[in-house]
Amino acid sequence: MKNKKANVLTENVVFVIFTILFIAILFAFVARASSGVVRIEEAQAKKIALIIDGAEPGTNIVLNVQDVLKKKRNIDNNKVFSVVGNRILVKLDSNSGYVYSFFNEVDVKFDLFEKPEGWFLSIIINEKEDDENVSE
Amino acid sequence: MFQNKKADERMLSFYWMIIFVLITIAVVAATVMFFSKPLDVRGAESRLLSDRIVSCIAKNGEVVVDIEGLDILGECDINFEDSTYNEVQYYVEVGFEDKKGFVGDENFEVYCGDLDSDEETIPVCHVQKMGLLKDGEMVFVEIKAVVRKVEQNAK
Repeated sequence: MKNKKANVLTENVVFVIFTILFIAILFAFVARASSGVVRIEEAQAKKIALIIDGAEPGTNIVLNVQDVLKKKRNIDNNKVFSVVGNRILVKLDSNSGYVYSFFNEVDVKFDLFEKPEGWFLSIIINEKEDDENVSE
Repeated sequence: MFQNKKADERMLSFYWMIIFVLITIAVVAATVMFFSKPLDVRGAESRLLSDRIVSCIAKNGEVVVDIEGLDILGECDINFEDSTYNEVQYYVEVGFEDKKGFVGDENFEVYCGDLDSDEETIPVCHVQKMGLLKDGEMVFVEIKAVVRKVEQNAK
């Protein structure tokens, strides 16, 4: 009789552990899918392009990019965000990268700097001077 | 009696297993479908483009440029070049009375009609109509801004 009770208890414990494990694996899968490098590159490039499209010359916008830089692999901080002509390039891995263009005819420069709170990206938007401008 | 109870428990475990498998398939499928789609920012982009034209042609509700002969790209500091694509991905039209000035791919204008706005694989259009003062008289100006960029924003 005692053995039977013990068996039922063990079965229930195993079942609960299995269920918790199952839910945890599902959460981990969704979290991993939502924080993929490719997804972050695309979101960052589009976000920066839209910020530039909506900005007037003479604007300086500072973004907190601490969480973005945490995801980078095999690449220097200074090479993560770059602007080539009127295209924003975000690279979190030496083998990947996402490019998105902006229509605002302005001169854009990026300045990545570190503060005690983390890493920040300063987007400096000025009136266009040269036709071709490449900065990092 | 005892045997039946054991059989019931086994059936219950079997149903639990089926439920787990179904939940897994549903979550994985939903996640893959959601995250494999690109972020569509064309709605925001077309609004920004339209706003840029408005702030370029009018100040304090008064028209400050010659709309009929307007050089949209030059006057409004806009650059439609994008080496990701071989063709222009934008269209801007400024309509005033019966005349209109435009820049970009004119074929995109049809997307500002009564097409199904839920369709993602077509260019996105934003239309703004407003009354502005021109030489002290009220005129109605219509601005259409279309962004294509289907490959980067929709699949």
